Amino acid sequence: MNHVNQRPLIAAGTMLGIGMGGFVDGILFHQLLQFHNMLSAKLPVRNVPVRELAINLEINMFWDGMFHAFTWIMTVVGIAMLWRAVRRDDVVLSTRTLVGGLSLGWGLFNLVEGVIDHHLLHLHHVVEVPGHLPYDVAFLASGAVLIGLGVGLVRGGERGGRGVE
Amino acid sequence: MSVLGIELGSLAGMACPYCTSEVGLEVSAGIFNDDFGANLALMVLPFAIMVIVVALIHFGGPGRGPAHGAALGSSEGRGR
Repeated sequence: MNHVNQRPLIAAGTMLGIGMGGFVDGILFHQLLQFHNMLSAKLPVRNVPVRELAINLEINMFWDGMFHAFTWIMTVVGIAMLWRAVRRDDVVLSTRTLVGGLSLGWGLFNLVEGVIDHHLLHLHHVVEVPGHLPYDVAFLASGAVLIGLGVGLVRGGERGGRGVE
Repeated sequence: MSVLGIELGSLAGMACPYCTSEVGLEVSAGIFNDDFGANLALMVLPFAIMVIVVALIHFGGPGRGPAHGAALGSSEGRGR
């Protein structure tokens, strides 16, 4: 083999990381901890009358479902990309590169979703309380850290061992 | 068959709690209204941007072909 192309593996890991990061957000923050829902800044589920709470929760549940549907699609596309990548002769199957891609994807999700949904569109905030900014900034920071970690792992994978790790 | 139809109908009713009740109709109106398309577009927007970033990683940025050797870092060809 004359040359190596790790981009398909990095891209597959990134796509899977976006999906997994989305599921962490949806399962942990939306459902288990119930910090927020998809439209909870527009349709509040805190400090509202019970009837309004029931209606807003049901509407938010629908949009949470739509969010999970798109997250699922990203994951499926990531699996397909990974399958194509591992069948290529020019892709070295490096664990560090794959894990780096996953971290890159998760960080990308936190950063992009955080900037757009939390700061620009105000669809929801990480925690729906009046002083939500520190939590939103922490979410962005976690994205930046995960991206940095991912880039480091990808570069380490390229410098690392030969062939399948 | 008719029993099956009734059972499926009741299951559908259970699966759609907002279809018949007064509160449920308000929920339905809160989802399927003039804002539906806009809400869907806003929800999809981050995913669309992330897909573009993944495409850039996969294919390389504008004016760049697929990278041979390393991506996002040093270049060092290796055999499998």
